[in-house]
Amino acid sequence: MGRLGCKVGGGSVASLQSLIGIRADRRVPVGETSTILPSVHVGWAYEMLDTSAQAKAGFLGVPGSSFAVTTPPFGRTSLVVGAQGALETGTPLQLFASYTAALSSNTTAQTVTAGMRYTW
Amino acid sequence: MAPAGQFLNLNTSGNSSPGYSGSSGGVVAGIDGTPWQDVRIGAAVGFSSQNISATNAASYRGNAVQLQVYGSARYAIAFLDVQAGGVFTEGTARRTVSAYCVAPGGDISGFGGGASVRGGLTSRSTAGIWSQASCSVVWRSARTE
Repeated sequence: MGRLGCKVGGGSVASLQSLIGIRADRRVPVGETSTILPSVHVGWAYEMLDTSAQAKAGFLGVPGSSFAVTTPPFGRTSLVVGAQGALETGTPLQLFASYTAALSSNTTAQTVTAGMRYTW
Repeated sequence: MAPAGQFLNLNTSGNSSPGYSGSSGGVVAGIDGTPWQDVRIGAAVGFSSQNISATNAASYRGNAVQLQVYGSARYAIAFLDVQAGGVFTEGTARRTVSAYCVAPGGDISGFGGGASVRGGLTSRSTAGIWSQASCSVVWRSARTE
């Protein structure tokens, strides 16, 4: 398959999203010094601006070959659910991990995060 | 410091645009402090790599660098979190054109910015469960060149 140069033009996309949600968590002591903090959250998000993005492009060396590519629109409203867990070790080190899913009519976005926090 | 990953799937809808799926992974490192009681401010920097594939064989691969500042304040049962940041992206988009047996591609660079405000109330039940109700507004804008 051959290769062909392509010039991609500028484009922009903007988002203004509101989210109303609730979260619940509880501290669960583990051993003498450690604590686990499990939490769950659920929310409702609404997108007020763009629901699709468009990019313009054209083949290099081919005048008049410009074309536009538009993504399919995603839903303006989405349900956001997730869970998080943190481990306080009784030392300055804290570990955490979380999972969040945003579900709309034709879109599923899942985010997984893990990390550590050191306090001094 | 936190590694993060995101997986996205957008199905084809009523129009003729193809759906796509994508994933990104990266790492974020930050530092924050409490200059005043119940007030925390900090900054973070992140690096991530994105990979998006459309059902029509178009694809995008790129990297992004992000800078972010954030702060939070507490007063009694109320809290307010704010953050703002910017991102610079660079990558390559490619699209297979079957009829001509070519795969045209082009480099893309872009930048963006965003900010969010989140406020709410926190309460603790007699069973020791903390509950939190919040409302947030997130603004994001991105431009490619």
